[in-house]
Amino acid sequence: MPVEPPVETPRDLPEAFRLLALAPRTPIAGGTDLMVRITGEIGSPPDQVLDLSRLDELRGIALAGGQLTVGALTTYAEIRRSGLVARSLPVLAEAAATVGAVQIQNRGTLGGNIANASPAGDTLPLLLALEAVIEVGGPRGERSIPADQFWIAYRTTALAPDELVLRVRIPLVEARQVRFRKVGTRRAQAISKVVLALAWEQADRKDRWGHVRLALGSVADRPIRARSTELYLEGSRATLETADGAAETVAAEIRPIDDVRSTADYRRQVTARILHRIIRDAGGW
Amino acid sequence: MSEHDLPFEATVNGLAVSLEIPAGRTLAELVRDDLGLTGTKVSCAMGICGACTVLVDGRSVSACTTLAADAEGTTITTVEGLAGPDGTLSALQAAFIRHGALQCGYCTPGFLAAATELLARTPAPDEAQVKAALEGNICRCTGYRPIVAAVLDAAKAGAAGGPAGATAKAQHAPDDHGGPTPGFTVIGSAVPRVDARVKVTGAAAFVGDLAVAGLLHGAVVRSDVPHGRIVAIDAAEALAVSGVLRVVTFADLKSGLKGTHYGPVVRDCPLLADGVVRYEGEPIAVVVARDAGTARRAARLVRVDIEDLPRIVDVVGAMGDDAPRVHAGDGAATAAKGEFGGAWADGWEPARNIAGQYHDARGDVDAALAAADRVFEGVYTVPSITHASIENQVATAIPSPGGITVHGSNQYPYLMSKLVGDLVGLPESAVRIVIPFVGGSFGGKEYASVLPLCAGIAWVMGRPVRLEYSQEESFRSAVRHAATMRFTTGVTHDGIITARKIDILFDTGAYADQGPRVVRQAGYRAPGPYRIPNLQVDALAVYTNKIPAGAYRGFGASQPIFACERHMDEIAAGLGLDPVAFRERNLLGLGDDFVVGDLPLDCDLPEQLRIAREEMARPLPVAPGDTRLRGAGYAIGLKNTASGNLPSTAIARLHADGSATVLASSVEIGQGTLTMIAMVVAETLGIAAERVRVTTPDTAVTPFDQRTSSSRSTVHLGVAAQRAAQDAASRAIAAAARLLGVEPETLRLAGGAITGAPKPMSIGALLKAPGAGFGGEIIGVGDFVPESPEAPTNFGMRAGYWEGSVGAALVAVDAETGEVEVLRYVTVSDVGRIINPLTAHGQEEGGAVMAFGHALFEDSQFEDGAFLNPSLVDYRVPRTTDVPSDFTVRALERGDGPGPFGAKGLGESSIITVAPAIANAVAAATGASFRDLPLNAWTVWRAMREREQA
Repeated sequence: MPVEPPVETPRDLPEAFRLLALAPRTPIAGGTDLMVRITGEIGSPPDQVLDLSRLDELRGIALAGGQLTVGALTTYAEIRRSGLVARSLPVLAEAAATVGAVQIQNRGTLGGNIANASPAGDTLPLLLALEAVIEVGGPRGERSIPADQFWIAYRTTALAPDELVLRVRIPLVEARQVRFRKVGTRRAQAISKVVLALAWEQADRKDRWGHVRLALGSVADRPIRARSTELYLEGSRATLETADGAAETVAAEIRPIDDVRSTADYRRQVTARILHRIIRDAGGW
Repeated sequence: MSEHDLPFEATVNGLAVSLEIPAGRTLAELVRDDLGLTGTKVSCAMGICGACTVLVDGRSVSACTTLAADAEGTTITTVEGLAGPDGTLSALQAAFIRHGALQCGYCTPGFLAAATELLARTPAPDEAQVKAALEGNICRCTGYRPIVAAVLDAAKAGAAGGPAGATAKAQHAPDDHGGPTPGFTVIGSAVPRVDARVKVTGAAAFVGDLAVAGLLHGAVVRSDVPHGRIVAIDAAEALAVSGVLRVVTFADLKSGLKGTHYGPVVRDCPLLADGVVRYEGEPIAVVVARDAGTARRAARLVRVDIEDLPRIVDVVGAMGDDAPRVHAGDGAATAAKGEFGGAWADGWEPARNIAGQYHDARGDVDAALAAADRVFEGVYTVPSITHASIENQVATAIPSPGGITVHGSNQYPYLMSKLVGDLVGLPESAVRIVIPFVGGSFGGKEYASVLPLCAGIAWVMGRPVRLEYSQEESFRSAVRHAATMRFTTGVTHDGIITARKIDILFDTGAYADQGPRVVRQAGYRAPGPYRIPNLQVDALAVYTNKIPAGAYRGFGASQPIFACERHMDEIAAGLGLDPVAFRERNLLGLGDDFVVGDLPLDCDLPEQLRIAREEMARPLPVAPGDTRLRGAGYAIGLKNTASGNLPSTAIARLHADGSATVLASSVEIGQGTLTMIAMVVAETLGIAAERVRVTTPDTAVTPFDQRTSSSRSTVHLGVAAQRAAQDAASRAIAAAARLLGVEPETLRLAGGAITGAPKPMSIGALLKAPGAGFGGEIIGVGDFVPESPEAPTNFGMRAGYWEGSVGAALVAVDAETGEVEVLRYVTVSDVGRIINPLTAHGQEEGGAVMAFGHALFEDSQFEDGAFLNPSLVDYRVPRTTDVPSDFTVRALERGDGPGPFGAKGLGESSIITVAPAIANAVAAATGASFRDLPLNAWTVWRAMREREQA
């Protein structure tokens, strides 16, 4: 179906910033989420569209200063196939592999997933659990926003109207363990019912967990951190008792909803069971 | 060039392309509209179905959600660019043909693109890699396994370095003969589909691909409430849009047409809302503009003021004494009978919100239930579901002085001819219905509203008009009936059924459509293939303020068979009997009467059940670490098929070179009817199938066929085509015998020549021979005339033959998430004679996989009459990864069917038993009770928890 609003296609970032200084524009990268609005298939079209596809400054993956930096226009397929990601942060490739099918992975971008702010955005819980920093910029300059301050309400981000997501910085931590689960992983094309990312560090020789970060998708109006459960797990060991307690805590902590894809009760209990299974597996139970 | 136009350069299928495009052009529009490469199809327009997949620098992308500007400077390959410049097919294209990896062909270009990327990156993939790479492409016809097999085979061909097609012939199924059936020259061999080559190269034309000079485009303005009175329609703003010609409403149709309502049984449905809207999404007006985008944009500007009326959102609400009426006005109360009319319309009672009904009784049910050792009762439900064919609803109507031509995607060319004639006031001879390839239907295009509406709009405009619905609009056009079914059964302690009482309520939506026919079939079939001495069935199709429900592959059989077969398992469990043994005690055998007076069963269900058991007995090892629960389930189903008065005619034209053209009006919806007819005629004339061309329907040229439905084409058109070929052959032989002075019995037709005389005489020589009496070709006519359609039963019509089905499933259930995986599926049918194993197994397997979705996740959800999930984003259908590799299709062949060479129809047998077989398996695995479809993860999970707590 035809695109209705005017589309502008800047050749470089300064040109994009000049356009954004004139008036707000809805940016589009791979288009896997946004094109349906632009063509009027779902919702009403935005007034003006900014096509970012030619901003090559925003592509690519780099490793420096103990951090992995991923450009906003990097596609899921590029993340999956990156040797750098495979060596330094394989869980990111694992998460990218669960996003949609090949056609989506070839077009969809990490920056698009971040800016689109879907509560079901597949990679977002992982970025939360890894304490990623989202670098944004516009005609007024650049700034960094920690992931846990980025998604502030339902489909709403901390971006100003004239700002774009530029890149993501993910700190690499030697002793960190990370687990990522999407219910329905076997069916990559399904919109997730529950996404869970858990990170922790081995705090001491007694196998106690420290710096625990638990993030969830599809269980709230935005991707969230489950802070009560993190506190519960902080300093624990991966025992069956811990698994039981964490499952109970997370089930009490989250407030999912019923919709056409699932029920609130199911999301709550399955989140608890997946967490239970991860902790069990980590403890070798 | 406007201010937002961009220069665009790229290499497309090896050729340099340079043009200027609006910055917002999608890649799909660029390819189809600007470059005329219509092999690429658009379906969901949301990047979710994969139909529009093309390669950009070797990467598969969805062209519908990609801006053309993003492909600037790239190398683009569409399906038209996959074959070599000399037309040599790629290894993948050749493998798709060999394996029967395509049916309707609408999704095929997208699959080929995605598979091409896979093999370029991973030249020797394993099965899991192929499934993962193709997970973004939806096929509704094949069931995916032939596609996966074709990709693996093409990879092997590539590894061998050999040319395309160099590998061994595909062994598609265990009962593939590997050549013709003994005693035949063509029948039984896996002849490639006659439409395969055009479908793997993008050359196959569908309705939306047709270029028409001066074509206008319509966009439909739809109701956003389920029930209301239209107070005002304000089209001023829409009419002010540049490029908009007119906004057509019911008033315009009323003054411009002879008829304004349609419906196959009762014509209760207006082309556009007649002052009242009766379901959310009902067409109210059509904006006609010079291009589709303008029409769609302007349609959003039409303001309709609707005053809400009390809505009926379910069958229970419809049945109350003081329930509001869906059809309250006088119009509906006097609605004319439709093309079927007759007895089908007898149960129509709009004053009680009843569109159709069926009642039957034998013996004394109440007394038998009172006397039974045990009585079991259950209420079972299935939700409304959608067809989701990849080609959306579409029609193009072209009026001319004194006539009209409609190109449609529809299963009923001749019924549409009569309907359109009635609407515009023309004789059938002035109405021409043309049906090219149809991109999947499954009943959704049996009686589609888009064709008559498009004809009506074009007629009042006096100009050619296309109506092409979006996927959401197609989802809003037709559904399968949701059903609530109460089964009560009396049995003896040792498991003999003594009585059964069945109450069925079908939610037929706002208009009768096929509902009265569907509910009668459902009621008739509901008891199941068992000996039941005392029986009572009451089935109602009830009007509600929802999408009209109509035909769906299985036509009223799937719903009651789910209820019946779950009920049978529950009874067996209650009696402590093995569920298969319990069925065997009551099962009807070959030659038994289902109902006295109907055709005795011509399918051997006990033997089918035995085969299914044998296949299920093969061990399937559990993978290490797999702790999921396992269970097996069986189901048996019976469908009376091709009942009633269903004539067909075919014409065979024998050409001078011995090749033949068959004129027939059988619609190629993917089922392979053209290939079937070609093979039957080839066998009859003694030539190769590729020497026979079969037309698609064009009612100005091709002869009458009642319709393409009810798994009837192989039997009815097959016989008509066989007789047409025999007629042409006898005329040729008679003339040759006369010229040669021999008895006709001594001659025969083989290899395009008359043989049997000392010297063979070619058809060409015969045609030229003085005194032969032919005008350049030999024409034969064949009719199929039903012999005794009336049956002295309450149902009133005799089955043409029975489709008997046995399905068996082995499942694994994840106790923590409720997710179900089908590990093995077995389907066994009784087909009389397989004409072509590729297409026969394709129908069986594709039908079964389609119903995996019905069993496990498909559910059109409504809230207060509003449709919540009208797209493939939120309505999930089976994908590659849902299909087990352990999948067996078996068929009995006794050569005893009424079709050509003893064939029967087979398009619907496998689909009817899938949901109960899977549900029985999940119940066996979990010990929980399941009476409602679908068995999605949270439903299964909840049932397991409830059982734990109980």
